Amino acid sequence: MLTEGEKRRYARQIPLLGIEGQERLKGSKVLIAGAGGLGSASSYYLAAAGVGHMRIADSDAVDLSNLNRQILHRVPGLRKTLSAEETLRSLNPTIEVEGVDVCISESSIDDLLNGIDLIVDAMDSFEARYILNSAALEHALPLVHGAVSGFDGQVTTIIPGRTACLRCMFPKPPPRDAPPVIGATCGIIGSIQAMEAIKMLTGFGEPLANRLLIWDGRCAQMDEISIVRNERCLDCGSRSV
Amino acid sequence: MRIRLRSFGTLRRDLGGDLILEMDEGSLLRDALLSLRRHERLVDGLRIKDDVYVLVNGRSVSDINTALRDGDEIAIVPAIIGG
Ligand SMILES: [Zn+2]
Repeated sequence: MLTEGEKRRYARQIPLLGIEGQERLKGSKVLIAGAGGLGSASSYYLAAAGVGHMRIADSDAVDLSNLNRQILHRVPGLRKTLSAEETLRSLNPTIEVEGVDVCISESSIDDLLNGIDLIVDAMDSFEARYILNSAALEHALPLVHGAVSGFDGQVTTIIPGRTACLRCMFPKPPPRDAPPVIGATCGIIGSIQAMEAIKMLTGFGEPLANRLLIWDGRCAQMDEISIVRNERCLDCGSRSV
Repeated sequence: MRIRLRSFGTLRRDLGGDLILEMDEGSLLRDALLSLRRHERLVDGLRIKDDVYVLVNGRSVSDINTALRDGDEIAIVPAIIGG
């Protein structure tokens, strides 16, 4: 049930989602995997929208060079999870925010997913993303993938049993890299991830299923590629559709 | 036969964006890729570079000798890694 305060807080979106949709958001638990640029933008909008429980995982401290894009953070040196908790709680005191200071790995992911309804991929390597992908398939949880580089980014929503998985699209990890990025690129891609999460959690609209959205910020152009599941995929190939 | 080839992001300007290639029957993916100006952005010897993904009709392809058929659509996507 929504309180009177929540009805007022969400008055400009309840006409879109309905009381029922808003209650679904309140009852949802989302894992934000990474409190960097993408995790900053997506968690801001999901917290503001009233996702009832946000778990945000990261094992780094804030560096001064993070601040061009990681808008959750203000103070270099602070643990990112602490800084994320502070920012999101002050943004929306009606929700629960849980920072987990842990590196996402095969041994930590199952605990991180306890009770979770949806995963937002805000990682910075494909090795880590493959861990999320496998766990999402294993636990049958939707995974909203996002990635950024420079002015460019990409997003897709992986729905186990229904869509291609991340490994179908990107079978081998690209070489590790820490590309420069304009903060607004993280804002664009992270915001689309938040939108996808809200749609998946409430059942509204058409998700980016089997579609990879590619944003080219230099030309301000958005394109999409249709994706087909690979029956021989290492991660999802043996699972039934 | 006619092949549509689209490239995205940072590869778009180098490779020409949205192209229609007229190719001989029996052509392979590598023939399509090597026909592009600046194909060195994609191909290293006879393999697709590690920071590029090539999809044919929405399926990720790593074998540069994949056979093409009339109407196939090739998409070339640069690896985007950051978070
Ligand atoms: Zn797969």
